[in-house]
Amino acid sequence: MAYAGKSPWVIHYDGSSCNGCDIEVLATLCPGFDGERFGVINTGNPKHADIFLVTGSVNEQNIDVVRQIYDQMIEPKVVVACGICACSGGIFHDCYNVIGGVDQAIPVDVYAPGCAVRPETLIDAIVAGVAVLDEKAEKLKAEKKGRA
Amino acid sequence: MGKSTVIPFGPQHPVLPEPLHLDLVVQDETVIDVLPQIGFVHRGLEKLVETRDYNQFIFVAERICGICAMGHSLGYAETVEELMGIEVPTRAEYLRVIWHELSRIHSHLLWLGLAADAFGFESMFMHCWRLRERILDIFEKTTGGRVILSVVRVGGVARDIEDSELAAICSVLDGIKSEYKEITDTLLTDMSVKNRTVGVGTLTHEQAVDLSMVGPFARASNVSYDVRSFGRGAYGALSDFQPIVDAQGDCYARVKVRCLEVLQSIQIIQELAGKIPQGDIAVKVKGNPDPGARAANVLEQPRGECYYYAQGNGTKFLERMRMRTPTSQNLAGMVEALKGCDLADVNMVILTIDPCISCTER
Amino acid sequence: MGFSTDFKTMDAQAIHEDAQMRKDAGWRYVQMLAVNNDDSADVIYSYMRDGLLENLVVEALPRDAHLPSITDVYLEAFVCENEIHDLFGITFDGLAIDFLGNFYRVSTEVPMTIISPEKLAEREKQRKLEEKKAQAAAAKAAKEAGEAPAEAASDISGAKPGEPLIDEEMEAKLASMPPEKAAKVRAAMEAKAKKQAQDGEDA
Repeated sequence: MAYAGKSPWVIHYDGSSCNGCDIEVLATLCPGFDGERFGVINTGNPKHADIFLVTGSVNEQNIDVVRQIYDQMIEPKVVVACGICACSGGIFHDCYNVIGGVDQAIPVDVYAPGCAVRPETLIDAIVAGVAVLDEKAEKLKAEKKGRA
Repeated sequence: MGKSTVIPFGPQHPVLPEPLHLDLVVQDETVIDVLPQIGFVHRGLEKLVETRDYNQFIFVAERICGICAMGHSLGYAETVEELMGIEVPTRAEYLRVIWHELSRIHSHLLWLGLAADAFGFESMFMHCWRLRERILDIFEKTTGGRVILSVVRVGGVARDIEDSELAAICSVLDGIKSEYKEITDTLLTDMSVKNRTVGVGTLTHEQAVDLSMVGPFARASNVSYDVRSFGRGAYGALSDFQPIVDAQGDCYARVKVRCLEVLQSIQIIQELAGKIPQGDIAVKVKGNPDPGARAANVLEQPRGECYYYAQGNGTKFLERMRMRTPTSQNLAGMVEALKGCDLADVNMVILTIDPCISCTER
Repeated sequence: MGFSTDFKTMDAQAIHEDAQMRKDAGWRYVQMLAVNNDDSADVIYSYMRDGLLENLVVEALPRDAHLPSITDVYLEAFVCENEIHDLFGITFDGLAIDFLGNFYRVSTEVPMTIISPEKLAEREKQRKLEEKKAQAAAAKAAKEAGEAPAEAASDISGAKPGEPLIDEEMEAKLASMPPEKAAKVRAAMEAKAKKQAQDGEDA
């Protein structure tokens, strides 16, 4: 991808992560890695966000919270599973209170593995997410044209 | 007096990096009661001792919390070593403490940034995290990991740090020290910071003792308790160790105590790096814990005293492993500190207590 | 100030009185935990004073035990008491902040009391190992006495100790897997066995 269609705003939710990935998500946006140079801005409001960064796996109690944040986001939207727990449950996959990866709750577009996920991987994942976002936006546009 | 209203706070909240839910009962703008609700992060990892043997479980213990990862692997290893009567080489003890104190610096810097962010001082947040990256660079150079280090083993450590590397770490810390002093001078003398923190969320000495509180939260209320002062392991080699305390018990005191603890940790690392003896870094571990054997242990985490318990059953699997983390001990104190504060100060009070939810729930 | 730990047993009736006594004497509450046994549970109370960490073990409580809450003395114990109630099913009477089983909202009831198939298999393995050891010791003793019974000796040498145990472990693992995964593993194992048999014939 040579250029990004837009500056992706991200929202972050900690499923049942151990914090390792959460602090790496924040570190990605801080001076060391400076994700903001790609226009990535962290927002607390799902309505403003293009990309949903989820860390940690889902359980009975937070599965509804994850779904609700996803539903509140406006199309087109992209979900990035950050860290191996969000991808598949990771080291905790056989715990009694863990359902599994985030894809058990909502559709995931980009998987970023790692324990904890490294900021470099996250930047790559977000950039890959922007490409998916552009694709989805094109599709929406085409659908609209078809209807008109 | 108006009627009371319940305001929900969290689990997804801009100042909270972690899911914590509070029901705040407010009258006008004043919080009169608080009911904490946790359980969003509960995984049930204590039960994993049934399927991971005592050597494998150290990697699970480390992932109780990504911020206190080093501390948890250290506490777990020490407890199992006590259970099995293993003597750890002195050099390994020194290396463990050096990494543990480095992770205390990283944890406190992380917290300082988040606290600054909580009252809208975003440039301070960025500066703290920029400084923290240099500690993470040391971790990456010496262990290969940034947040999860996987360097402690039952019976010692997995990697050595070369003497030249230790000297390099000391000079990096010297560099951090001068920049860090600039940050804390700004933070501790800034008028707007004082406006938000002085006299807010006060917890008296009597309350802190009454609620058995631990860590910097208790030390800010003049409770002089720090597990490090027992002088176990390499801490015994320190020429002097005094817990850092403050008498005020408000948010400002808690910020101050943590600010000073970073400088204390730097001093500990530099002293130990000068004293570290040569020798082995691990012993071979043989056999299994005896059936019915029990061991209890405490360790000073960045957030306070953490309790570990291990019980053997004759197999390579432990019968029971349990941690009581500092935040779980401080929850009652957090509720007390929140009572009577303004609604606008709630996030400030919560942040200065530095809760670690994923530790608490495991 | 040094640090030492100590384990003592305590009677269930004494819990509250002991907590009150310790509070007055300046002990600090450290923690509470439960340990699951085959059909009972132990609860351990820990307190600390002057570097001495005392752990008081209340042994062999029934599954549906009721214990007095110590939250009127040490309020901060509410976290541990709610946790033990949710995970082990022990009820605390007079809990100051009672979540009534909604503290963790776990998906399974009292998860920590469930003994997993892996653990059962491990225990069985341990029991068999000990039996074998005892048998071997008995046989050795008998041999030394000069009247070694032939069948007992052949019993020990004849059985391949590793094989049946591994199968049991595998069965236990399969039982804990989701059914579709278990079926896949079974199929793979069968194919492997078949291939091995074929290789044997070829050779």
